[in-house]
Amino acid sequence: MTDVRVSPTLDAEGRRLDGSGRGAALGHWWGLNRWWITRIAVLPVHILVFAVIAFFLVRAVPGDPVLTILGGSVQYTQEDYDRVQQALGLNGTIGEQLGRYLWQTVQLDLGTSLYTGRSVAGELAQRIPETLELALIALVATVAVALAAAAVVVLRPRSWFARLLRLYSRMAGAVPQFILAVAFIFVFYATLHWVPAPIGRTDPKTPPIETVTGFPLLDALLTGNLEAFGSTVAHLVLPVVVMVLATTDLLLKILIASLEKAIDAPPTLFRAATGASRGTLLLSAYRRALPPMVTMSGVVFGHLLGGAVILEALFGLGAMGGYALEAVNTKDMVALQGFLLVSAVISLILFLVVDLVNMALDPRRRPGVHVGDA
Amino acid sequence: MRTTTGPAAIRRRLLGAGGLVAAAALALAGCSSGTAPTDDSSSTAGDARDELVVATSALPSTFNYDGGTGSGAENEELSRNTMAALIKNVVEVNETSGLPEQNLYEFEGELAESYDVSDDGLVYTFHLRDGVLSQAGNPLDADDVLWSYERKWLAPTATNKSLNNPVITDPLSQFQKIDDLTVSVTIAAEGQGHLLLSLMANNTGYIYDSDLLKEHVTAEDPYAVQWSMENANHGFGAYTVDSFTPGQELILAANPNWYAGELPIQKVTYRVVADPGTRANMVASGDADIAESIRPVDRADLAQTEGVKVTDFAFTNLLVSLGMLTNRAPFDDETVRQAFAYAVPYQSIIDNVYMGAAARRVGFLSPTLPGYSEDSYPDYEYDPDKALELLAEAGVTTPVAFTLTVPNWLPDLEDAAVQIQSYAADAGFDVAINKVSLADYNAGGPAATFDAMLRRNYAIVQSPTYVLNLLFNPDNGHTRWVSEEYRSIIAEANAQSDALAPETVDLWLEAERLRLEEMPLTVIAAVPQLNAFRADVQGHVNRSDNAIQFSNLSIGAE
Amino acid sequence: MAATTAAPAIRVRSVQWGRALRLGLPLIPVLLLVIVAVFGPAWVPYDPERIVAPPYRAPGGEHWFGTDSNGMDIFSRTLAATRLNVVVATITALAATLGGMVLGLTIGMGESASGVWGVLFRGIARILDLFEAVPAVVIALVVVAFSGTSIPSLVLVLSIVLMSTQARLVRTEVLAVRNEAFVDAARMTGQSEAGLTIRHVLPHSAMPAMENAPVVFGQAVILTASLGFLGVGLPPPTPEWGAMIAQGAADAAVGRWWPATFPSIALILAVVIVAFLIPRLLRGRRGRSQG
Repeated sequence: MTDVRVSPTLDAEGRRLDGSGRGAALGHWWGLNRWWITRIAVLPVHILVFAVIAFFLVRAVPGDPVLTILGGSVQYTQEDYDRVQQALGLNGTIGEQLGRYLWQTVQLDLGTSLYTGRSVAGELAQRIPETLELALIALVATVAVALAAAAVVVLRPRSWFARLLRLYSRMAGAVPQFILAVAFIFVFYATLHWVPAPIGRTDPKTPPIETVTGFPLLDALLTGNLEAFGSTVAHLVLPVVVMVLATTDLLLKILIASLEKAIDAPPTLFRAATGASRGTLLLSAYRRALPPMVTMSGVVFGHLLGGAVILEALFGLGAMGGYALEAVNTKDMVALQGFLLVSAVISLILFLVVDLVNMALDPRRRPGVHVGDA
Repeated sequence: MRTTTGPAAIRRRLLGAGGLVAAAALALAGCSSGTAPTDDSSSTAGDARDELVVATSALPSTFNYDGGTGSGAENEELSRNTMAALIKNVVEVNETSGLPEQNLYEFEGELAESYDVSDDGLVYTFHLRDGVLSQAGNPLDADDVLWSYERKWLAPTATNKSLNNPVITDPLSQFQKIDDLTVSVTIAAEGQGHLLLSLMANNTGYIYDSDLLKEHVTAEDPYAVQWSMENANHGFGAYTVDSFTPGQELILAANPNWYAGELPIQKVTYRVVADPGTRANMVASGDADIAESIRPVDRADLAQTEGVKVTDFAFTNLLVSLGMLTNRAPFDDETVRQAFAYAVPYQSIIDNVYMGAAARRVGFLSPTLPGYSEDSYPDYEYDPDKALELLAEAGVTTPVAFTLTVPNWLPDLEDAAVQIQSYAADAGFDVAINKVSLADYNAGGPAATFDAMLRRNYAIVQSPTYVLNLLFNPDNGHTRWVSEEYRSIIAEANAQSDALAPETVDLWLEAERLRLEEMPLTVIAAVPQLNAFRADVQGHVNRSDNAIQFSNLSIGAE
Repeated sequence: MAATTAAPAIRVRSVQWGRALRLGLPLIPVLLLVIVAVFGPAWVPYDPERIVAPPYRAPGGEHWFGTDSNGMDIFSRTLAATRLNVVVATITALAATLGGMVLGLTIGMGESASGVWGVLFRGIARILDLFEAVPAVVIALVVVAFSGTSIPSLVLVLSIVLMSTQARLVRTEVLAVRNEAFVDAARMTGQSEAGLTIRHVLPHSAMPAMENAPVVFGQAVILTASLGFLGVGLPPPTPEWGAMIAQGAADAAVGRWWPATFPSIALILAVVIVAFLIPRLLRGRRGRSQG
C-alpha cells in the first residue's frame, strides 16, 4: 500500500510547508531528483562488491593454473614452475593479489588472460558490443512480436490464433534455446539450405567491417558496407528467430495478464463510458500495462544474454559466450573474473535503466515517496 | 467498409509492418548469402581460386608458444604456417598412398640453403640463404638463429626446451656464429645427429626475427615473449596474420618476403564452427574448402561424397594410447596392467569409433624405421579370458574399479572410452569415465591424479629417442613409470654412431619391448588425420606435426 | 412436477462428470511421467549404458528410436534418462524452494533490524539481486568447476543457482506481510520473533514461491540439459537428455535426426507436464483457470 507520509511541518517531498529553511531551494531540487541520483550513486558500490566476490569465487575453484600451463608441455622442472607462477602474477599472498586486482580494476585494467596473454579488458571491449547487438535485436524483435501477439489475444480472444498464442505463452520457458537452435539448423540449413551456413557473422567473401562503434551491423551501415550488412543480417536471422521464439512467451504471458487487468481498470472503463474510440482505449490500456512489461523486458534481456553463451557456440558468433566457455575450460582465472565482473556490470546497468524507466513512468515507484514502512 | 482506426486496422497495420520487415530480412538473406550452397562439385567457396576457407573447431590461443600456453593443434598449425626453420624434411610421393609424405630420415634446406656434417659427425654447419627478409622486412642472419635459441632457453615461461634432450642442452655453448650467414651446432654424440636434424626441422626449431623482437624487449619481458603472444608476424614464414578476431576468424595472407617466391594460395580464412557435423556439412556443400577436426563417421561419409576428399596417408603418427598410473592401486601391479591390456577392445574401437580408417599399432616407434619388426613384442589383443586369468593370478578381487579420464574436446576419445567401458566389463574391469576440461586434463597428468587417461598424441619429432621418451618423463609423465633398464637401453642406443643402423634399431626395439612387458601404457591405434578437403584442393602433405601447410597447397583439377 | 425435478439432477451429474474429467485429465500425463521416472530403468529393453548394436542404426526394427554414435539403444537411454532428469529436477525444485523460503524469511525479517545485523541482511539481499545479474549457465559452469560432476554436486549447483528467485519471491511477500496487524498482535502477545516468523509470517508468504516451484522444476531440467550440452554434465555414458542432445546435434547437422530428436521431445514433454499441467491441476480446484 502506498501511503504518503503525513507530517505537520513537512510536505510529501520533505520540504518545509512554510517554504522556509536553509537551502530550501537546494533541498527542493534534491527532493525532486533524489530518486535517480541515489540509484546511480549506489551502482559503483555494487560493482566493487561484486568485483571482490568474483575474485574469491574464481580463486576458490580447485586447480592450479600454473600446472595448466606447464602441463601442456610434458616436461618441466620446479624452477620452471616458479618462473611461470611469477610471470603470471600469481605469486604473493591473497591479500597482495586482491589489492593488485582491485587497484587495476579501478583503472579499468582487467589484467591479462592466463591462457592467451591478451588483455582481458581489450578483448571484452571488442566482444561485448557484438553480444549486446545480438541481444538488443532479439529484444526489439521479441517486444514487437509480444506486443502484436498480445493485441491479437486481447482483441480476438476466441479466435484459434489467439488460443494458440495463449497456449504458447503458457509454455513460458519450456523449450530451451539450444534445442530450438539445433532443430532450426537441421531444418533450415542442413535440409532446406534457406539460410547460409552458421560460419560466423559474415560470409568470408564479403569485405570486412571496419570498426567504428564496435557494433557490427551499425558499423557496416556507417561505413557504407552494404554487402557485409546484408550478409550479417542473413547470418543473424536464425539465431534471432531462435531467441525470439524461446523468450517471447515469457513476455507475452506478462503482457496478456497486465493488459487484461488494464482493460478492466476503472480509468479505462471511464474512457469507454465517455465514448473513446477502441483504438484510444487500446493504447491507453497498453500504457497502463507498460511497467510490468518494462521490468520483464529487463529480465528477458538478461535471459537473452545468458542464452548467448550457447547460441554463440552453435552459430559461430563467438563473442561473450565463447569467451566465458573458453575461460571456464582453461581455468583462466583472470579472464573468468573479468567476464563475471563485466556481465554483472551490464546487468546492473540494465536493472538501473529498467528501474529508472519505471520510476519515470510511474512516480509512485520513486523512493522519495513513502511506501508502507510504518 | 474498412475502418482506418480501431483494432482491426491496427492489427492490419501491424501485420503489414511485420510482413514487410520479414520480407526485407528474407530478401537480404537471399541476395547476400553469397555462397549460395550448391551440390555442384566445383562450387566456389573461396573466390578467385587462390583463397581458401577453413572451418575449424578453435582458433589459436596465442601467437607464440614461449609463453607456455601455446600447445595444441591450432597453435601448431599457425606456427607452421607463419614460421620457418632452418631445414625441413624432404617430401616424396609415397608408393602406397600415392600422396606426398615427409621422408623422416632425409632433410633439405628451408631458411638455410644447405647444411654439412663434419667427419666425426659432431658438428653441423648451416649455411643461411642470403637476402631473405622477415615478415617485418629485416634480413635473416646468424644472430637471429642464436637469439632465437637463447630465448627458447632463457625466457621465463618457455618450457619446451627439455624436448630437445639430450642433444641440445645448452645452445649458448653448442651454437656458434661462424659469420653472418653461417651457424654451427656441436653435439655430444654422433648418433644423435638424426635427432638434432629432426628437432631443427620442426616446431622447436623456428627462427624468430630478432631485430623486431629486440625492439620490444622490456625489463619485465626480456625476450618480448608477452609482446609476441599478442603480435604475430615476428618470423620468416610463408604467411602473415592479416586479421584475428578471437573466437571467430583468423585470416592469413601470403608473405611477399617468403624466400621461395610467390605462393599459389594467397589468402586463408579460418572460421570457428563449433559443431563437427556442421563443419563436415560445409565442406560437402562447398561453404568451406577445408574442414578440420571432423568426426570419424563424418570423415567416412565424406570419403564417399562427390566433390570432397579425405587423405588416406600411408603412415600417421597420431596415436591413441591409454596410460595407467603406476604408483598407486590398481595399476601399481604389473600383472593387473597386463590384464587390462587384454581388456581393451582394440578392433572394436578401430571399427566402430574410427570406422575402420585406423590402423592397429602397438608402439611409438615408426614402422618406417629400417629393420622394424614386432616379432619380439608380446601380442596384446582383446581377450577377456586371458585378462580374467591374469587378474586371478594377481590375486585381486574382480571387478577392478578405476576411472578413465578423457578430454572433453575430442569426441572420438570419449567414444573410445565408452567402448572400453562396455567391453572391459566382461574382462573383469569396472571402468568409470571422467570427462575433463582442458585445464584439468593438462594439470592432472603431471600431477598424477588420474588412474588412467586416454590420449591422442603425435610426436612431431619422429626420432626414436624422442618418441620413446616423450610420454615417460619420470617426474611428471602421467604414468609415473620409472625403469632404469629402459633409460639405460635408450642411453646406450644414443651413444651409437648411427641412430638408424641395424644394431641400434635392435636397441630401440628392445626398449619398446620392455615397455610392452611392463605395460604402463597401451597403444591402441594410429588414427587418420580428421580433415576433409574439397576435391580440387591439391598438395596436402603428410607431416609429422599433422598441420596443414598452406604453402604446399594449390587449387587445380580434381 | 416430478419430470422437472428429475432432469436437473441428471444434468448436474453430467456437469460433475465433465468437471471431474477436466480436473482429472491433466493428472494422467503427470502420473505417466512419475511412473516412467520410477519404473523406466527397469522396463528398458536394453542396458542404457552398454553398447548393444552397431552405431547409427536408424529407428525401426529392434531399436525403436535407433542407436546413437556408440551403438547404444536410444529408446532405452531416453527412458532411463527420465528418472535422472526428473529426480534431479524435483530435488532441486524442493531444495531451491525450501532454501529460498528460509533465506527469504530471514532476510525479509532481518532487513529492518538496526545496526550491524540490518546492514548485513540488506547486503545479503543485494547480493541475491546481484546473483540474477550473471547468466545462470555461467554461474553453474563456475560452480561445477568447484564441485565436480556427480549427481549430488549437480543438485547442489542447480539449487544454488535457482534458489535466488525463490528467495526473492518470498522476501517480497515477507516485506508486505511483516507490517500486517496480526503480526504486531502476535508480537504484543509476547511471541518470540522466531516463533511468530514461522507461525504467522511463513504461511502467508510461502504461496508465490510454492506456486513457482513447478517453474523451477522446468528451469532445473533445462539447466541440467544445458550443462550436459556444454559438456560439463554427468560422466558419460550416463543417460541424460542434454548430453544426448549434444551428441545428437552433430548428427543432426549431417542429416541423422534421431539421436537428438527423441531426447528433445522427452525433455519438452517433461517440462510442459510439470511446469504447465501441475499448476493447472492445482488451479483447477479453484474453478476456471486464468491465462
